[in-house]
Amino acid sequence: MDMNKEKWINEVMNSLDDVKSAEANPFLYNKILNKIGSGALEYTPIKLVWLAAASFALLVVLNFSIIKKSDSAQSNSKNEVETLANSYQLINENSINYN
Amino acid sequence: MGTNCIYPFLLEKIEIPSTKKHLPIFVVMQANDLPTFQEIYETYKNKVFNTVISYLQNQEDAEEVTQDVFVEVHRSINTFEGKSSLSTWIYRISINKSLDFIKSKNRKKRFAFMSSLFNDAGELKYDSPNFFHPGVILENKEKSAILFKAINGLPENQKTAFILSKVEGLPYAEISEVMEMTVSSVESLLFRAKQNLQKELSKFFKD
Repeated sequence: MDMNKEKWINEVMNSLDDVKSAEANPFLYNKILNKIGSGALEYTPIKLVWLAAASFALLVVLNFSIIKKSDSAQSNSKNEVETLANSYQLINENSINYN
Repeated sequence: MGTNCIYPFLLEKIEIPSTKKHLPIFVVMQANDLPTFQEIYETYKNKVFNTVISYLQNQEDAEEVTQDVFVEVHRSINTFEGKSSLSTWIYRISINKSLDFIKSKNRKKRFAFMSSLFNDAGELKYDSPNFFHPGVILENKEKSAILFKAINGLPENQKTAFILSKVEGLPYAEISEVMEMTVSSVESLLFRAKQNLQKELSKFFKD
């Protein structure tokens, strides 16, 4: 590599030597507070979120099981009616017309 | 929840008022104790800003992202478990927010390229302006601007290692903690970063 080129590249690579830290704008803190919602630091604790999710899941499961029970109860009651009707021969699928 | 483990790591930097020493720090912060958050801000603001501006190379964008970093610090402080130092944790947030911002900006540029950003030869016309880091001494400003252009083109990990080492001046051990890799991995990243930068800089050289 050309000596001048190499020298220049080294100078560029070393141009950050002794760099001082950039300083943040003094007004940034107020902007941060505005973003946070200064003073009203209300974050929902994660435990509460999990509790709400668990309650919701429980509610869904309970509703589902109640609906399922009620379906099965309806079908049971239908079976009961049919059984009763059959025992009194109120339903005759094979009726022969004697006339 | 292991709240007490946060205490020792914050005590390295923060002076908790004696009336509140018995409280875990997240309780203090959740009780809207702004002076405590302000102490964290005052301690780390320049580290955050200096790191972020080295990634974004733009004062306005860096101020925006610095705010986002501290909002995140405030939001997440009660999940900080103290497995690393507070400084390391804040550096990680700064790096992640900076990289996310760059990705978002690049996505917008890709959309814009459909329109008038390309010249007839299909080359990207938009050229980012020179970035003069406010902490660089006057005689190095032009050369450092060229270096920052080259840093822009590094892969993320190499860029991070180089910025933390050269701009933030962190020792390898601290960089390895921030980047969650071994010291030898950091050394390897820096070596490759320097090689890539030298290759890129040779294109900028004018006889």
